[in-house]
Amino acid sequence: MVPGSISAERWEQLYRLEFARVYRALLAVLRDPDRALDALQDAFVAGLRRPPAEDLDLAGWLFVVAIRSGRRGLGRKLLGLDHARSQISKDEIKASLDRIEVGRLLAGLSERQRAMVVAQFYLGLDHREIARHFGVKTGTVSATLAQAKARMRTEVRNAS
Amino acid sequence: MLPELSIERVFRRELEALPVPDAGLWVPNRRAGFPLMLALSVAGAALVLVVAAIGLVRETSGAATQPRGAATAPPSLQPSATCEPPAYGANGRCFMFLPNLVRNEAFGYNLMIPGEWHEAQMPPGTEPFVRDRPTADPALTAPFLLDRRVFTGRATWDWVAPTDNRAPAWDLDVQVWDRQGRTALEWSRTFGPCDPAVRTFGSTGCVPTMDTIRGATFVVTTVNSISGYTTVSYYLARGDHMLILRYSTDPNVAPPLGFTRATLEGIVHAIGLV
Repeated sequence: MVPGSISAERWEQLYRLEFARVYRALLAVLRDPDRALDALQDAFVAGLRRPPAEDLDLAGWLFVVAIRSGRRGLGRKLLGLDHARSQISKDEIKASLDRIEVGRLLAGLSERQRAMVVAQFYLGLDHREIARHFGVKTGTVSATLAQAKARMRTEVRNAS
Repeated sequence: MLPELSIERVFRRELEALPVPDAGLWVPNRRAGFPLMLALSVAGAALVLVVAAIGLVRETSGAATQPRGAATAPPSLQPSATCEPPAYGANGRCFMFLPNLVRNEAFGYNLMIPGEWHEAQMPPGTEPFVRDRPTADPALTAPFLLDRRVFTGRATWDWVAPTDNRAPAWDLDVQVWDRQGRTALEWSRTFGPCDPAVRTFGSTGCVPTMDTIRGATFVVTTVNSISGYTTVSYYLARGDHMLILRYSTDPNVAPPLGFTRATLEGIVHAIGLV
């Protein structure tokens, strides 16, 4: 559990522990290294201001807060300065995502579907946890994931 | 087809191959290590924050004695003594977001909002007087809302959607109307919070003044209610449009941590008109 009085240092430690996993999950969903980094940093600051009630699925919390931030941040590019700092080119990432099978499958999904698929299959959240984090009903998660999986199956079938 | 039982394994194997940034970039940009070129590039934007910070220092003692609103609980972490909000301390360093430039090309204005601010989505049905969907309260037929954007410094989970068409206290409400030939002064007296027909605001204490921002003269109205709720509106007639920037302060609702009325004034006074 993360107590309400968690120190900034402790929060940064927890954040760093989960950074790589959540960043990769965000890359798979947002498909943009700058957006992924910005969104995850937003989640870090959000956690500093008000840490999650518990850290049992800290990665899931960071992921969903970052996804929300990533959606808000679509129109804000911070004067283009962040591109210089990420040091990973978008082309590189896109090429990596297109090269891997998972990346190709996710590309055919909506961002919301990608987020739930990645939350389940990469971050290991169950339907109930995804529903709680995303603020939707469990049935909505099940339906969204069913549609996403059906689409991925079709994609695989077409490719083979 | 991917066998379902192996999907997780495939996801892990493939996504783990994606590169991550250097560890030095994981935590948001810190003031201490802020490169000079970046600092110069955003100097104009930083000026807005400086103005806000000055206001913050002035209001710190007063804010400390004010009651905290129920809508926003104090955060669990207080900024370190050496970091001036909205900057935050971590591992002995101060960091903060860069301001965000919001462009509204369709209606010709730019805003520089603090990095932690974002646009809030007003719930459907709370838009005042939308074209083709006139409302009856107050009964207006001529003016139409063309564009509305509400910006807030509250986190998504902190932001409480309003039930009427007023943006929550401490948010900035930017509206563009079809002005139907009315001047800014006429508009402020007829359709703004100074309108006696708008009962929820009341007309008591309505004070219209003028303010020149970047060469443009805005009509400014300030309406104070008995409870201390204050609404400040800036009106500017531009071509066929009426640009309105409005915010409210409420002594019973705490502002987002690190932000004050000076923040809102700073955003308004940094508006770019194109």
